[in-house]
Amino acid sequence: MAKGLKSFLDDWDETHPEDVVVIDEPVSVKYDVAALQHKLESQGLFPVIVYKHPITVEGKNSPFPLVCNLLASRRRCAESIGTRPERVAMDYVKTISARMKPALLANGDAPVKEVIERSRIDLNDLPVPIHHENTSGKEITGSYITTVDPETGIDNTACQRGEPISDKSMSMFIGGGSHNARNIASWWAQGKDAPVAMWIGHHPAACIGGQVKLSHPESHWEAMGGLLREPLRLVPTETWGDLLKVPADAEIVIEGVMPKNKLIAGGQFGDWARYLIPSHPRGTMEVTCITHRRGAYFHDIVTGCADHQVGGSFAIAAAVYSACKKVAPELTNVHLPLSGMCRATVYAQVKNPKPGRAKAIIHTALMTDQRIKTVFVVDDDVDIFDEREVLWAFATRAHFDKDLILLDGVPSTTMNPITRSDGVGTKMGVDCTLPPSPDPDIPSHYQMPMRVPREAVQQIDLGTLVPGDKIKRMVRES
Amino acid sequence: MKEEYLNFEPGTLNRYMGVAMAEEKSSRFIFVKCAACAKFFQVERSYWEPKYDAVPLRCPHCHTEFRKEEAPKLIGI
Repeated sequence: MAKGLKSFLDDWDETHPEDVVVIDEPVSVKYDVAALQHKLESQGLFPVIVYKHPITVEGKNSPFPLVCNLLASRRRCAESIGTRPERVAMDYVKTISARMKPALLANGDAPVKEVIERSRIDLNDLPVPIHHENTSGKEITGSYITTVDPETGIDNTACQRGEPISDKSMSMFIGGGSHNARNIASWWAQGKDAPVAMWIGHHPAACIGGQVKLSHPESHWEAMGGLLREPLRLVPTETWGDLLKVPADAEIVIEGVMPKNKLIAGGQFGDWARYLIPSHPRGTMEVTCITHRRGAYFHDIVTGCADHQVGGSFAIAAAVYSACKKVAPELTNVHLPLSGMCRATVYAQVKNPKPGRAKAIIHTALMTDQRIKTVFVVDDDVDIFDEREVLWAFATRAHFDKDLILLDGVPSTTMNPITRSDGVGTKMGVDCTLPPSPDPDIPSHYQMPMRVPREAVQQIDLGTLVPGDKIKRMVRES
Repeated sequence: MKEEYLNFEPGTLNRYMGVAMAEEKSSRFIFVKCAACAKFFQVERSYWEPKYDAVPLRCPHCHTEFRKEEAPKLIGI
């Protein structure tokens, strides 16, 4: 059976039953879904959540069950692409390099065409949530938008959003600098409306692959196949035929057209930086057809939560690792922590770097992605997945007059509210590495850090010394 | 202060933070008072570029559309 969201949920529930929460009680998608995720996240818990009976914002029972938090867990996302959390940056690069050509299915063979709605289209049937107060309304967030370049016929896919504004239309949040925006502008420049399809719900590997950083024009399908480790199955859309194809194993596809130069005010909405994006003019999509599986799951991503931040960060971590490894072969790993929204902060680890290499990493990482704002470079005795260790190195291994790099007036994302109106901002990097060793017999010419012998920590048996139920009842402090 | 900020009263924000600091850190958007419900919301400054003249503002709270010149109050323009 081809991989999809349902097959993943079944497999994951079988192997990790503690990590799948199925809620049978009716739950409102207005704030309650987001509230539960916030509450779980504050306790460091990131299970997949399946709402069997979501209540729409309008108070109706939705026929579509709702899946949330799918991409919130670094471990789950890593396993879905066949790696471990601490190896994401390295393995993602390898995996997407193993491109696989997609397979084309006939309409009748595609699960996403089990139900085809052309005349009875109603976006209000979908359990589209409102996550945060002061937002302008419902927002489809677990959605991938596919467009096509009119010059070459090459498609592009990105995780982008839509706000239903009627039963058959949406305002679209397609970032101005994105490849999809470029494709849509090209159609409009030719005086034509732009073909567009939004697909919702797929295997996490497909979702993560949909966010891979590619050039333009370059299709995402082969990279998604690489992450899925099987060819992605595609099917022509009902509206656009072979011009615009979509994943055949998606849960739901919304097809439509973006009319030339038709703009309306969109937002305010939340985004990964955990701020509301101010209202601004956005294109609109007029829905021509909705196809879906029978009993399709509707995938929602709560904006600004780990669900939004983790899955999308793999491609950025891989891009940073790849770029920095070229300028500093001593780089051993990189990590984009949740505290930096998996976008703004990079922890880079090096082993015995030559002079200048840590600073080369800082400059390169800061310029790899506009969202990266701060880079910390540490030695390999520091666990970059333990924030206390990184900040310990920062506090004890850096001369701020020499080891701090400040860049001003460099391109920065407007998703970060501190970026100025001209799209530039300040960035910072800190070299927290130890001085090089003058002699092979010593690790570094620096005061030796305290360590409990690794073997002692490994051998101590917590369970025999401290009763398990007492550990569960202990109040965790940071 | 936190509660006032969440209630979208930008005047109080300036009073506490200092006008200069608020302007330095808030150059990308404008606070708009809705012509219908009188609640404030934030709008990208680029919305005032001539190419968007024909696109009305839309209040995220009450969804009323109105022209920029109809806004009873703009802060930060």
